[in-house]
Amino acid sequence: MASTSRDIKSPVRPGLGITTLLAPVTSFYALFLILPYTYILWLSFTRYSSTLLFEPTFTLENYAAILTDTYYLSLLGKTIGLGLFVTIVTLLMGYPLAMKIVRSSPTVKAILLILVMTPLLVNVVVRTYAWLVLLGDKGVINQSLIAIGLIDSPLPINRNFISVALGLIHLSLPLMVLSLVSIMQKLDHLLVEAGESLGAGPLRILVKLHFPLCLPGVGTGCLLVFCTVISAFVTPQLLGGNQFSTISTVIYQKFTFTMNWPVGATLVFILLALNFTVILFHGYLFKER
Amino acid sequence: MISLLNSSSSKFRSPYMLNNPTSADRGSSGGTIGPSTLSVSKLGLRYGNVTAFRDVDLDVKSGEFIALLGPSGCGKTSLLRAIAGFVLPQEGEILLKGQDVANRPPRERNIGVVFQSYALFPHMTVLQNVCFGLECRGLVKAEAQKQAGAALETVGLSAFAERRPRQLSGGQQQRVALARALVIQPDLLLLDEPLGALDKQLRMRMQSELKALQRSLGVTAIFVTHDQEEALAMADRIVVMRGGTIQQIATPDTLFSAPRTGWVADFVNAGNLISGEIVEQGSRWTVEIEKGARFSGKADPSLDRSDAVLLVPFHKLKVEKAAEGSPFVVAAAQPAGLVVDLHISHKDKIHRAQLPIAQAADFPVGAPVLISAAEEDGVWLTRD
Repeated sequence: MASTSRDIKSPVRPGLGITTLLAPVTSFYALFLILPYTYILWLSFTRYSSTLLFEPTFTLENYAAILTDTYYLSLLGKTIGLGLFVTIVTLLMGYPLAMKIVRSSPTVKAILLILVMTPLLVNVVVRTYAWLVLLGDKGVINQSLIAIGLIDSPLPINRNFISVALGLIHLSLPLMVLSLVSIMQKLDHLLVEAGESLGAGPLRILVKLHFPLCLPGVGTGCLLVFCTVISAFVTPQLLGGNQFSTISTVIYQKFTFTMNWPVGATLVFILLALNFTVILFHGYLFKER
Repeated sequence: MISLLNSSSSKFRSPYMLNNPTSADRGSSGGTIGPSTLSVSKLGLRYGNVTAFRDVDLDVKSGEFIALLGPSGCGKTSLLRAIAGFVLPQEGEILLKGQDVANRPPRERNIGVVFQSYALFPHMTVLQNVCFGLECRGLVKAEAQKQAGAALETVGLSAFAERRPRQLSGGQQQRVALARALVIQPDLLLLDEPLGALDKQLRMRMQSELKALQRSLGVTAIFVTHDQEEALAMADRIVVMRGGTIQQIATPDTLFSAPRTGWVADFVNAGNLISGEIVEQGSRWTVEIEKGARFSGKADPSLDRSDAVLLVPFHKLKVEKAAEGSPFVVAAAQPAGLVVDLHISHKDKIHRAQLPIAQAADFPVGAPVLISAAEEDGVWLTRD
């Protein structure tokens, strides 16, 4: 019998022309994502000029300046601090909430999930102004506290870290809760029962079994919240005002008010690098699971 | 494996003996039955308006190995979960070593549980899994690891202490689950379909290992199964459940020789159930399933004659050759060790006869036959 040999590199059958169907989405990303980012990346290597907007040279001095300047370093520190704070608070608030949602009957679960998601369904400007109404010096909270005589002058809860953090917690709690719910739903309840039968109390079950088993969801939730918070713009811009800046709001200032495009572009890539670092770190931590 | 169990079990038992000197006698005499460990009375559990089980009375003696046997949905797993404390029954009481534990959480019952899926903690090593219960009891790490190590040795898994559960085979995971449940020296060991996830060959081997381990440790144990062979192979007594109630509690021998109802006889495969119109003939009742095929048994006045079935053990069914055209035809002949299991079809029923191999050769598949049974071999039972 004659043997035939065919030149086949991979024995997997080729797909049904998916490559062709990918053309629109590929060109979309190329046109609206890669191209602008390439442009901004290039901008970050140019030099600021008050007359030309920027000098088209290749220089690393923007990066060097930002990473040695105490103002920018403290800005970076504040942004990371804000991200960590909001992440931890949403985790502490979201964990019990997710546990409650997972344990509820299907109807209650659906209602709770919709309630949790409402911040994402309300327009960001409306939601943020609602916070202003609450937190302002003439806002509901301060006026009520003054009216009942608990305080004489308004509490400093507006246009600072507190107001920005509150707004961002409100915004990012759904991300944390949804991540936690999705992992908790997959958690084998028999593991908890096994722990109980072995003599573990509620605290030990939570610390030694439930939390470690939900770590992948905790990781995803923290990643989503942290990256959302350090990149958020509208909430810190409106609730932080001039007194509390993050990298995002400074980028906005650089591009629209001070017209220092090279520095703005450099900040964009520092923020992007921060995001990638966090994503890689997350990938490294949860590689094994 | 068995020899390993026996040689190392003494090490594992040593802390046990300090606490409870009687366990030593129990172990060495191979499962002497002591006083009652678990006493369940009038226990009932409902989920909404669905009854899981009701009116359950069960007394388990110390050192006994009990099987909860029944088809799926009969309430056997719910009963196990109620004893473990995972669900709270609305009615009745559960006495564990004389104390009412019906309202106590699982952690205050000192009951070891082996789950069908094993429920090993995936993020811990095998050793950490076995240590978990000891740490809950406040043992320092070194002591916990020493005892856990001894328990792992008992189940022959010392070499796997640092592995993760997912790196073990099903049979090995099962042993880890067993070691984890036993190391806390439970007053009672509960096993939910302990061998259900294993393939048949391994299951047979684990049956004898499990039984040997239970005996050598003298631990009181209850296991749930839907497999009557497994129940018969391992249990000292079998609790047969159906539709949330206990049908019969008996030793395997009694269950076979004196099933309480036709349903139980059928479920444990105790023999052929002959039914039809029953005629009273003096001191016996007779049923004619076909012209010339009559079955009789001593009349039982305690039964309702219109609702009785005759139990004829498989090996007591007599088979004779018959002329072509007989309504009884050999449908299958399955060799089963020293006997052949003849399946004889009649209308829409199958009767089974177990014959020695030599005799069975006379009845090839398709052969017309006649079946009968001696009067003393038939027992009347109530149908349900």
